[in-house]
Amino acid sequence: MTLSNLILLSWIIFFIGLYGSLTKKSAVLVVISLELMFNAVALNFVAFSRFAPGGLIGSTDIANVLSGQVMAIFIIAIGAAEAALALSIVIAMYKEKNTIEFSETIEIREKDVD
Amino acid sequence: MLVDVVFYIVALLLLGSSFLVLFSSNIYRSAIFLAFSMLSFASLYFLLSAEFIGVVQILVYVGAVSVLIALSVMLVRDIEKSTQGNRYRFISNILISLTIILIASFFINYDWNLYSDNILNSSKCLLSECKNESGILISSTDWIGKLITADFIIAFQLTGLILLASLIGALALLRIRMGNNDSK
Repeated sequence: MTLSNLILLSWIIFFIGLYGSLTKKSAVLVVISLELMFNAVALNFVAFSRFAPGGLIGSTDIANVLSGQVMAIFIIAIGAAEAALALSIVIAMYKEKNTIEFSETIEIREKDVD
Repeated sequence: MLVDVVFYIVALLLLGSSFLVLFSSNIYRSAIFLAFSMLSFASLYFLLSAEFIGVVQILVYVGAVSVLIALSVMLVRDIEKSTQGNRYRFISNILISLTIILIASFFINYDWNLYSDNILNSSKCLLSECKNESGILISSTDWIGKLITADFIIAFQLTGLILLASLIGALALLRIRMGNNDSK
């Protein structure tokens, strides 16, 4: 378990989430893919805080080292808030339009574009 | 050695469940595989000796967000055609492959020997076996609490504000839509 293994793993998960959020039709799957991307970034932060130079063993510079874990906590909180808000938007969209596809619910564009 | 074996098993579980989130045929199974993937993330955090983050991950994601996503899947009832791709698939594939090539060039050229494992020797022990050695910080929870309430206090309060705003926004959105439906 080295740092490059962890960065490679979180990078692959991030691109799985990016692919899903760009190419999937259903809004719920887009939200799920965004959660995957949030978690990949949080894993990146925790991995760098574990393998940071001048790490925990002397515990003289512990504020610098544990900042990554604090950032991971903030990412988890923001991710949960985003999931709640996005899923409520999806449910409101389903009640209004009777569909959960983003491409069928665009009303901002002109009517005669395509 | 044991940590490496556990890491590769967990990484395989994480990659498999994350692929199956997107490529399973049913959106219910996507939600369940999302819970599996979040559990694998939590076990990676335990392996990285960030046990507080792991517990928070299990509580928030496996406990709350997966249940939220499963409930919203039950509410929208659009399961059959919901795993198809949209019409922007081709151009987004091109964009994603360009980004992968760009980041892979950085990744290959970077010097990863700058970062060494300096908390505990990962080939020697798991967390519980290292408890009695000197210089190894087992519990980081109290330090995280001190950091949040001292150095990151503005970010902490802004996070609370964002949570409150998203809660009020979600409730207001659903109430307004339901009120419109009732008036019809």
